[in-house]
Amino acid sequence: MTTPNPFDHAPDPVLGQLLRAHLTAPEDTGFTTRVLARLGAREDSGLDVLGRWARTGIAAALVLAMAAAFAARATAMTAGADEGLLPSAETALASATSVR
Amino acid sequence: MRIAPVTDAELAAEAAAGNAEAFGQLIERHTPQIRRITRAVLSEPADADDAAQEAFLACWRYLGRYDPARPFGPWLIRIAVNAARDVRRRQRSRPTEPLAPDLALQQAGPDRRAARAELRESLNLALAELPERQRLAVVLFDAEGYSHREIAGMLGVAEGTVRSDVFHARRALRVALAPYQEESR
Repeated sequence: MTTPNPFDHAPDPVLGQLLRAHLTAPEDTGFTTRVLARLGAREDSGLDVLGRWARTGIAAALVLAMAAAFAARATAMTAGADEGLLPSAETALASATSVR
Repeated sequence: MRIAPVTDAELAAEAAAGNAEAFGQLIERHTPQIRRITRAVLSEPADADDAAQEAFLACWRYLGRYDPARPFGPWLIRIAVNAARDVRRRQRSRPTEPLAPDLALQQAGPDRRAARAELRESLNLALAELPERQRLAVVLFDAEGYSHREIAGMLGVAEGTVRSDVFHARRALRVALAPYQEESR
């Protein structure tokens, strides 16, 4: 190590080597695998979330479609029944004419 | 036969396209340095490793923002420093602990091991007493070989501040290590 100098622009190799030795982690084996595993787990969980949303969305869409179909059918039946109960304008006119 | 990409920028481009293998290569290239930097911020090795992992995960998320015209290392170091600071903020209530001894130290002979343990302890204490920014500045300058300008960019401070931080950190470390320097003469 050299004497400290505020205008020293060059790295101190001795101090640098000491710091590197001091801070270097004992082993790097398996670190990459752990990071990639965490990455994979995150992506899987992301897909799971999307999957859950998709399943919920499909179920909601099915319920809505069934409700819409039921409502349409009920409306059609009501309209049909109304047509059967009320006489048409022509029938009413014909019956009125025959009375006279 | 396909030739494997060699530069960080090429690997980053492949990783950004979803190639996990390319990202794995980037991790392997930068792991030792990133772990040193997170250890410079966090005294507990397990916390430092958590921060290093978080840094790589964040790197994967933000790869789309990386400008390949600029060097990859400083960009990643910026992410790592932020990740380490986040971990430190989360564990602020926990007391600072000295760094764990390394394997090289454990494998040395008894006398040498004792001398090195003493040196390590002094360096450990001296580093722990430095303000975080000074510690990072001296590690990035002397141990990792970055310029003052590059460090200023990584830490988001003025170049003059980095010069001053390196100077003060070096002075403190040299004072702490002076007895061992005398012995080695």
